[in-house]
Amino acid sequence: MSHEPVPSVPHVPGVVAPKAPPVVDASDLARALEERSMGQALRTEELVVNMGPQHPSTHGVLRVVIKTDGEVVTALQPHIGNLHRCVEKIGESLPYYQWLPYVDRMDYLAAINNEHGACIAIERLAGIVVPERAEYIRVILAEVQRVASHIFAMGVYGLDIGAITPFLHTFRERERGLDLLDHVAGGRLLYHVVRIGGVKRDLSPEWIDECHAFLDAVEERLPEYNTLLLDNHIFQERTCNIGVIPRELAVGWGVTGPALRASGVDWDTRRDAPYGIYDRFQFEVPVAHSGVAGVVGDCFHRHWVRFKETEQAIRIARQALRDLPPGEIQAKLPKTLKPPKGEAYVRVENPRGELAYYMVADGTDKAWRIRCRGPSFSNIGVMTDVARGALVADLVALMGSLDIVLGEVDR
Amino acid sequence: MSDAAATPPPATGAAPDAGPRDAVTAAAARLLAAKVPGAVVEAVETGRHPSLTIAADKLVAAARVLHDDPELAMDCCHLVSAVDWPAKTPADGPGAIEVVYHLVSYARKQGAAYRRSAVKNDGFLVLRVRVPRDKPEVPSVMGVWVGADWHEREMWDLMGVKFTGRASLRRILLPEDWPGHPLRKDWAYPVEYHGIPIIPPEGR
Amino acid sequence: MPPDNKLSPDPATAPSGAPAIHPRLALDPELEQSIILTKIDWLKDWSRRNALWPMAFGLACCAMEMMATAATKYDLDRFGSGVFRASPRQADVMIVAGTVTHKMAPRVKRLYEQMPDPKYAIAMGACVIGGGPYSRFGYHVVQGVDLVIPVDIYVPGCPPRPEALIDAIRKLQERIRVRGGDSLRPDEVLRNRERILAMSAS
Repeated sequence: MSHEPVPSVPHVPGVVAPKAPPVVDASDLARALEERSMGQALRTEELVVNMGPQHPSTHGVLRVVIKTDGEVVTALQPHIGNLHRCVEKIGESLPYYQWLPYVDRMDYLAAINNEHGACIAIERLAGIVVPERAEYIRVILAEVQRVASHIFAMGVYGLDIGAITPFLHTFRERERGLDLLDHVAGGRLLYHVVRIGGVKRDLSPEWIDECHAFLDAVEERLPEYNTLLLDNHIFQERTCNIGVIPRELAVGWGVTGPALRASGVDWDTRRDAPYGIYDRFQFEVPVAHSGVAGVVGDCFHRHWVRFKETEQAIRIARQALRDLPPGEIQAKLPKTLKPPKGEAYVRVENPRGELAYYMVADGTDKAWRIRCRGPSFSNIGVMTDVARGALVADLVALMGSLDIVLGEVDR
Repeated sequence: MSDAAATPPPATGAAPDAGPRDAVTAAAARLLAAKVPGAVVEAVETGRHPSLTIAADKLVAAARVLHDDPELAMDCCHLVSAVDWPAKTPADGPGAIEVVYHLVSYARKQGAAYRRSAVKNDGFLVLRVRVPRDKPEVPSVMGVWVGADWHEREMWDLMGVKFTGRASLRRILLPEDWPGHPLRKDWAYPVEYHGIPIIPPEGR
Repeated sequence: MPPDNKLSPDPATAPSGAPAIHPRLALDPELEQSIILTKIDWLKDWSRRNALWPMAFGLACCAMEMMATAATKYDLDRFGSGVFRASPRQADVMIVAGTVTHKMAPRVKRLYEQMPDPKYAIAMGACVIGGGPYSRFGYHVVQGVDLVIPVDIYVPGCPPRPEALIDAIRKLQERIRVRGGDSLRPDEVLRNRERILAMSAS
């Protein structure tokens, strides 16, 4: 029997030392080692790794099945539905008024933005005109919520990739924002304050002063977060050129919100298809460009857009506080709301992207069909294509930068 | 079922009320009439709910044309939904399921057509496909808009719409062995699932 | 202990079964100040209840409040419970924060089983206690996590405020102090469930 060499392990010049050891240049050695680790000499077995649903950086109960070749991800499949709470079925089973609190619980970090969209959709079905003051209060609350949501996302993203300090810093300001909303709505996280045809509570002058103080405090602290994250060399190393979502892929998958703008698409629903009274405010839409760091569409830019958007949200909230008119805050509504037959499709700009409601009314006090489009639902989908070829450690950076909330993915 | 069950879909068959035409819908109807004859079954271009009803077998061709056309450039499928319309009595036939596609264009958002349309329909182009309730088969548009993948899986999961011509159609939200499709109007709540009792709505 | 201590440890004169303070120890006033004599069970429960390590098990909205409880303003570390572990094998208490669905229920059970004994569970929020707002029409929501795992403490609210969660931790500490640190017995699990059902019926 003749001995045969193992065919799958080819000879690599430069690594297996010949008889007389030659002078090995450092760059030669690096190249040779690189060739080895890329699987040409070293064979690694494909391994299926299950990440989640109990995992600290999946932001909830997302389960991701990863096929890995060494440390490189070759295929990825997200499995969702662990938090499916039947919001659409409940919408068909309950009157419009009673369905509204369930909307809060979809994207539980942006409850007011969710309510805003749902109320606009129902108002469009029923033809309700909202009083001016209520419209302004909605915008103020929505933007305060957006600030709270964005700084939360920034802090938690730091936590995801290994920095605990920004998490503690951002939570300090977020608590102030939640206290503000607590004063007006009576709840810290889920409010049910935006109602059909108006808002539940009016803003007091003291509250407005407090709100100004909160916005000032956040604006003052933003450079501090910037120092901790965006200007941090380690943060840049972890996020620049990682998880790049090209423009075509983002549009095709239906990615929206900061992730879409980070891919270079100049689109903000508040500016381009304004709902409510957003056409009255002056603000800029931050869009990723190549002059910052990394490449357009990477994790760094998603974080950068979120940071810039916080500044603009503060700006909008200040304008709304300045222009807040006196008057009623609630339109007169019948005891049972029965919108005529018809349908409505309304999209609003949530902190995570475009939240859309498709509502079909059949003339009774319950909707015939309600379909909600959670922005994170589409934003997760793109991971299947983007994660291929990434390192396992970068997967956490990618997932965190998309800032998903599982409540609206599964609804 | 309540008597509202037989309500026809509002946009289909409704008299188009007065008002300006929706520019995007009108352009899409013209384009499809030229490129894919027979695709548009019904076009509602005015009123509150402008939409195009597409024949199920021509859907993919129509989607491809709308996606590739440089003027419309519908590059994003915003949402795929399905609405269940069961028949009022058995004599009326099986009833229908209406699959609704909301398309939007990011490439042409600055266009004049978009601006005119944005006032009325938020720039969305609405496609409808009506299929019989007992055989709800719709060709998949996943090849045109990759983002439709998950939406189609969800509509199979919750509504039982079978999307044909795609790789795999598995449940996405509910477990694989879940009984039935919950958003169908005649779906009944199970009494238990894997040994965990479920108290039905009447008992709560 | 001073280095010139004459009282080296001697197994023959160990204080087990002896009077509360050994006469030889009582002689040295310095030693008397620095040694506490107690029952080993009391010591075990004391250390256990003041270092309850929760598992970071966020399911839904309540998880945000759980994070807020651990973060800057509320600082759960004051009660020895700020060490959130990602792995169930290192945790003592499972704070089930959020809605448990039928798809998630087997995993909740499995994670609970992976925790080392003695282990405790806190049901945080209305969804976990009895299905909450989803209990009526939410076909996919488990109507109470105690159908799946035994629950020690129930925290009502939707979501409960951080103060309520802190109170739950304090209640669990008190429970360990009074009842001992062992996991729930089967009869206690059943009694908990019956009490919750009776409360939701009334």
